[in-house]
Amino acid sequence: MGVLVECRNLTKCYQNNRPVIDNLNLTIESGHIIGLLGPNGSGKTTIIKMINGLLRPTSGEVLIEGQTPNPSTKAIISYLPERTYLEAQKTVADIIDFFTDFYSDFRPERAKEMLSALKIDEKALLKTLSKGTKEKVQLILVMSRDAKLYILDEPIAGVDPATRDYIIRTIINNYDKEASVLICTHLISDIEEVLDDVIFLKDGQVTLHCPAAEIREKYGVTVDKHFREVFAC
Amino acid sequence: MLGKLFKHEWKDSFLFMIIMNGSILLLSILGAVFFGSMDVSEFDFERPFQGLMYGTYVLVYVVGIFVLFIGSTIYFYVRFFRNMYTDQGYLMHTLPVTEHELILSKLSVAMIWKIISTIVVTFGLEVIAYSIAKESFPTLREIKRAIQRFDIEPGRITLIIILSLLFSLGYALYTYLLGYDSVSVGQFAVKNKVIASVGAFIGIRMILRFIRNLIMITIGSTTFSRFFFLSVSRIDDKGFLLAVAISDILVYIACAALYLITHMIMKNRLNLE
Repeated sequence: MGVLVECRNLTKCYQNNRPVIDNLNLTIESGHIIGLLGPNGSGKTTIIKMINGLLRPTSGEVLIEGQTPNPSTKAIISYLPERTYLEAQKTVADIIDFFTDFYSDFRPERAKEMLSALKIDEKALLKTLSKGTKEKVQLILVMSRDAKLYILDEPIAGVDPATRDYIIRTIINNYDKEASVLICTHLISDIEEVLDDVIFLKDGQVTLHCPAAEIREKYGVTVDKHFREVFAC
Repeated sequence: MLGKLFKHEWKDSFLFMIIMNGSILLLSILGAVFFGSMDVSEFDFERPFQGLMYGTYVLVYVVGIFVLFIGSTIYFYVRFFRNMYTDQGYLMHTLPVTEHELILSKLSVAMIWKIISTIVVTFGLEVIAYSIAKESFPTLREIKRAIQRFDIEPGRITLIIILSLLFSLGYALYTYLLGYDSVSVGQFAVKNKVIASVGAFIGIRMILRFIRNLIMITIGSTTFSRFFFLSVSRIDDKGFLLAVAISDILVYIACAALYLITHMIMKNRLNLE
């Protein structure tokens, strides 16, 4: 398994100069489903944004297959942000055309199949869709790519439990086994069974990075339970 | 990828811009029909109905042109802001494209629409002028007569026209790049980024105008008074040519600087919330 993402001495400070990410070192290998877990404000989204080139590190570096974020690294990452990034005036079909144009690894037939399974009309304007449906559309778009790395920031936060199951199945069924999936969520119990590895993040630093099975063996509890114990207020 | 970005930018802005330009075109045709249906030599401004009709039409037309140019400029500023620095930026900045491609695609579409709008307005004015004067291209003829009054060597007229067109093109570029740059600088603000962008727009514009005025005064030709007082009287053609040429150089230098700053902010200082 090759190294897909490497964070070296990564630090990110915002305007108040307090580091949100503090000299963090992290390696993500291909072929894993990894849970990036931590309490609010621990820096999960900040790391994800830096991997995607949406934030610049204050110091240190993020390398994707040995390169700092650039158009060729963006071509291999399929990113689902925690917010709706699609233009409300467009139809679902317009967005499929857009993804088809820009991502050579995008599979429109797969997207259409999933839209049909969730009974989402391709001709519908995005502004007419509910927040939950928009999130489903975004996830479908992201999972319809044959990317090397999927980064999903809170993919199941805004949807009902039945849809959560569908989304988790979608993630499992659609990613290439050579690829990696980095999932950032608070709903650990819902995704726990699919996680290969777990990263705990606290105050911008990695406090734990190990296989999910190791937590269950070593501590005799689920990842969710262990998380609650470690981050108990 | 530039072609694909261009395609989508064009597609997304098409409806708004076609409505804006179509409205002016329609207004021009209505004006031509209105003026063409009457004998202008017998037009009586003292008669309330004719005066009101004429006044209303001129007002609507002038406001229409104003809305077309100012409105479309603001529209492209807002598009740039939304696409690059709001939630939509999460999509645009994760596309496998360079920052140059992002800026150039937006700039080229905005410029093409500016040229189309200029053609639409010029054509519209010609159509109205034709309906009144009943001769082809009357406004162009008037411009030609005005140039001839300044006793400019015929060979230089073409050069002046080319340089003036280059200036117009450069100024349109400058207008868009000033907006893009201000929006990008405004992102450094912790809060109220839109207000910060407007502040940056005013500030950068003032600084650039000050630099331009300083250069003009330093070079020290009285012919540059044209740029301050909009008066082209009492100038010789050499001076005029020099003034236009220097204006061309300055406007393109300003464009290059604004472009590079926008690119630098996007590439090295992007911080999407």
